[in-house]
Amino acid sequence: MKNLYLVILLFNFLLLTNCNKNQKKSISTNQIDSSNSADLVNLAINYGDTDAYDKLSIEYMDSPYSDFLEISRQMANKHEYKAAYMDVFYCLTNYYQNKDENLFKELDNNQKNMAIKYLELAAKKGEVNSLELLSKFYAEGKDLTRNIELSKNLLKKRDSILGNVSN
Amino acid sequence: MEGLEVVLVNSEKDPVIHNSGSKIKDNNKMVTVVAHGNPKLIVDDKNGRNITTGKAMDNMLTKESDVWKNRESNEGMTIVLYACRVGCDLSDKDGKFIDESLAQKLSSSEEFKGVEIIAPDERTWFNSENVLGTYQASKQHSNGNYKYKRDADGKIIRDKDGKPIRKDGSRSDKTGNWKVFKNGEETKSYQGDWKPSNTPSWWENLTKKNK
Repeated sequence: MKNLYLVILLFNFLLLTNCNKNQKKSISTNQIDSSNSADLVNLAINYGDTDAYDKLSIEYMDSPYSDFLEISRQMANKHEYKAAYMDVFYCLTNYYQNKDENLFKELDNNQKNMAIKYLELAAKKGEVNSLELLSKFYAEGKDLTRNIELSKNLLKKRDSILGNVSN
Repeated sequence: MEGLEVVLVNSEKDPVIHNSGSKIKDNNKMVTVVAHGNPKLIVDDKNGRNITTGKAMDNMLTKESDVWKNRESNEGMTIVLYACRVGCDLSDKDGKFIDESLAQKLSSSEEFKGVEIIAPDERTWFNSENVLGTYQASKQHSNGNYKYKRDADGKIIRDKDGKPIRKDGSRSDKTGNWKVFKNGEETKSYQGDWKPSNTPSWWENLTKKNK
């Protein structure tokens, strides 16, 4: 009988331990850790804090990204932060919710020109994703005038930034 | 041995995920990748690059993982992606299909021919010590995007920190699935509370494998 009690006691202990483990606060990979919570928009836009900006950018990955447009545009224009230029492009083209071949499909000419302008600005700053995408657009010749030489040069620039990448 | 797990999140910006992600057990045939992600891409925070193709993924793994770099061949290798929804097809908010998931695209690429890729179709949740699995958020659209509080004009309301306010972004009890892809095809799947492995036990196959 004693043994049975011991087994029941042990079982309850294991159950409780497991419950406690699962009750600990959990976060998903796209949620920022807010233990050092501060006014992220204020830090980013008014002080050019790129860490604060990056946290916001990740947090917005799961949202309709267009809502991040104003923050990214201000961060780009005011602080010339390369990731922010790219985010303006992502926001305008709804990048996360679109296939690459449809990025400009629903944009009018002004919006398309603005998206390309920010993509080029990001590339000038050496943002690797913009270099890759811009190179692809120049190679395809669908949304930008075909320019194979420029396309190759953009990839070379990307590779030199990443270091020994050959594709 | 170095390079078993590849943690692409920044330890200062994402201490919780970095800490528990670094504790994931691997072996010399299985490489795990911990990163921010969505159905279209994985964020390589270490190198400032979004990974959207097999070539880019291969490059990153060659740089970051000795196991991958020194493998004799692709056969028998497994990659586990601990990144939100990278095994979920890209779809609009009504759930209409737009494109294949990143994991499926990687799996059909030349670089990952013969490699088993395991990826979640919902968010991957961590606490300070463990990976909890892949689960739905409490309030989300049918394509997995969070639902947000909006003002009268339909704009998302932000909190004082500037973060968009979710209706309820906490983890629900509804599990997602760990999908297993090989050569561009989904070969099997497991419940979201399974611990991904390249050698699941008979018990895991009995209790966690989806029929």
